[in-house]
Amino acid sequence: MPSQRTLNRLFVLHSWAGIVTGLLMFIVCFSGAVVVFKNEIDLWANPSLAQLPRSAQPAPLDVVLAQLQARYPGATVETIALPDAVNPSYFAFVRERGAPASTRTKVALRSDTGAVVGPVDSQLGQYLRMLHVFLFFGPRWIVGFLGVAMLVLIGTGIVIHRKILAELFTQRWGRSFRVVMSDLHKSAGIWGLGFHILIAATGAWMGLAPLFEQGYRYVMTPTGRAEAQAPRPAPPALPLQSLDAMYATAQRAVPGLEARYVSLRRWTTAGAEVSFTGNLRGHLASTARVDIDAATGVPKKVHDPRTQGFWSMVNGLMEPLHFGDFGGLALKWLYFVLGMTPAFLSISGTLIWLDARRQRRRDIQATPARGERDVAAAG
Amino acid sequence: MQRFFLALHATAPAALIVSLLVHLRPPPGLAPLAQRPVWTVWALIGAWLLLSTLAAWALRTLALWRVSLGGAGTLLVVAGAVGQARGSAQAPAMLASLAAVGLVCVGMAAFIGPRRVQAPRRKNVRTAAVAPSDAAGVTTLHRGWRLRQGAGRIVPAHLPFWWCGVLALESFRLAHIVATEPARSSGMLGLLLAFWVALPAATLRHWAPRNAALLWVLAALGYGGLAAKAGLLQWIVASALCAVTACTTAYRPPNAA
Repeated sequence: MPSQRTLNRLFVLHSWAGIVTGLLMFIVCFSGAVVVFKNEIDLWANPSLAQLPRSAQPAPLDVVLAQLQARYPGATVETIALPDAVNPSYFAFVRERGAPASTRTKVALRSDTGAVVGPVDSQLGQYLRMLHVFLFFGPRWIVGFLGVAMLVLIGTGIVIHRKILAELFTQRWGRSFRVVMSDLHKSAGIWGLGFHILIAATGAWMGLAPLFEQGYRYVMTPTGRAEAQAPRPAPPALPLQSLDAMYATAQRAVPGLEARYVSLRRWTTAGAEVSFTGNLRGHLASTARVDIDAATGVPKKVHDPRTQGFWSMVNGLMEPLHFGDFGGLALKWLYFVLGMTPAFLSISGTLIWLDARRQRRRDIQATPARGERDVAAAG
Repeated sequence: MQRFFLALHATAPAALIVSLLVHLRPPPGLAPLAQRPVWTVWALIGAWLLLSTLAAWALRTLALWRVSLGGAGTLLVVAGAVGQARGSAQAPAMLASLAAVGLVCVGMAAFIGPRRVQAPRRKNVRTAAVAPSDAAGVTTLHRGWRLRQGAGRIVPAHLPFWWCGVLALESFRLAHIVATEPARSSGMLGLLLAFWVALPAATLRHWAPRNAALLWVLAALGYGGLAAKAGLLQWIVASALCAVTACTTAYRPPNAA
């Protein structure tokens, strides 16, 4: 049992951590709850794609690529997104000739014929995801740090509100604002406790793992080696292998691979590469990836989270556990409702803190007044 | 300022729905949404700040939340109706879902009336709670400035947090704005040190000063290592800063209990 002094300290830590990160936490949690429906929102926000058919046998990838190259001559096709459970169409991200380096156009294609439909109406789902994951402008680790802050808030909250079972069902309406808010804050926090720990831990992992990875690589690399690497001139183009054949190769390398994205790199040179990334059939992990030399069709790098050890498996489970896209619409609604609770906790915590501060100020203002009256009465 | 801060929370959902409506009916003449243009981000930020300013200016606490929730609920229904009118995929299901969430918002706006909480009572006289002295040598001055005294100098209580902020900002600058090796990788490590070592050290300062000093020493060593590897002046300064903070944290005035 922690001492009263320790509890006071934890309470102060909980309050300040909450008030400093509260607004960002609210935005991230609120947008995160909505982003659970990213694919549905993307489909809904594109009326021009509403009538496109879902094909049981999608058009070959080579046809899709050929259609894109015919429609956008001279453009760079960077990524092709395959049809999934929600969106029936192919999508491609294309850098058009003469466009700024940072500008990509998202293009829709029919899944049955591979014919180009044209640029999409909007990317609303991805826009919301950018808000949740990157706060639009920042690197992902900012949200990762917020995940850690959330874990600190959860940990301190559990210790300072120890009567967990009683507080599950305590709601005193008609009392002072702070009591009502505090009861709501505590009961929402405890009802969603397991979920909060899950999204905070997975969010922190996904945000900070690349930072640790980069830092570890830097520490382990002998000084000066990175500078020694000079850019090599691109060799001339060679005939490239068929995308469909390479997809079949990737599926042989990682049995059960269901690619969501096909990324093309240095496509017009002999150093051309293609990456197939996606899910595994009958498995939660979402980080399966095969990189293939497009000139030879030979896999260069194979990442199967099932065979790469414990941490690789943990890493592969983070995204589906965080976004809840493995259990259908019912699970998404559950994630949405539970995802709103940390947003509510941010608001209620802020309101409680502000109310307490107002109360403290009133007390401080009242004290000298009483002192003056006492002096006057004595005089 | 406080009202604006609260309004930023209250109007965020409505601002997000406004940007959703902009995505459904983008204004002509701007870059197409297929290119994920940056104007959509500024539209959201602009709408959010504008709505927050208006709400902070016009609405008191309870009205702020009721109007914001009611407005968000109404806008959700409007968005669902626009989707239906434009013939979007899954439009009826989305309309039903958005209307259901909108109804919840409106219901909450109606629910949080003044009858749910007791009106605040004016307390004319109350004995002020005496703030316990958290650590020896701590003096309360004005508006939260608590100073640590000793050896003829004083250190503001939240100065270590500012150091953490400075370390994190400089690390961020090196990692993402300079963004060339070795600044990039060492900046990322600097960030990790600031967050995982310096920030806990600042937090533990009054609670467990020895542990805090130890953490500052660790941070100094870490930044010293970065200075040795990357050869950047910033890391030398950061290491010195952490070392000095470790000393001031570990130092206890002679009259301390």
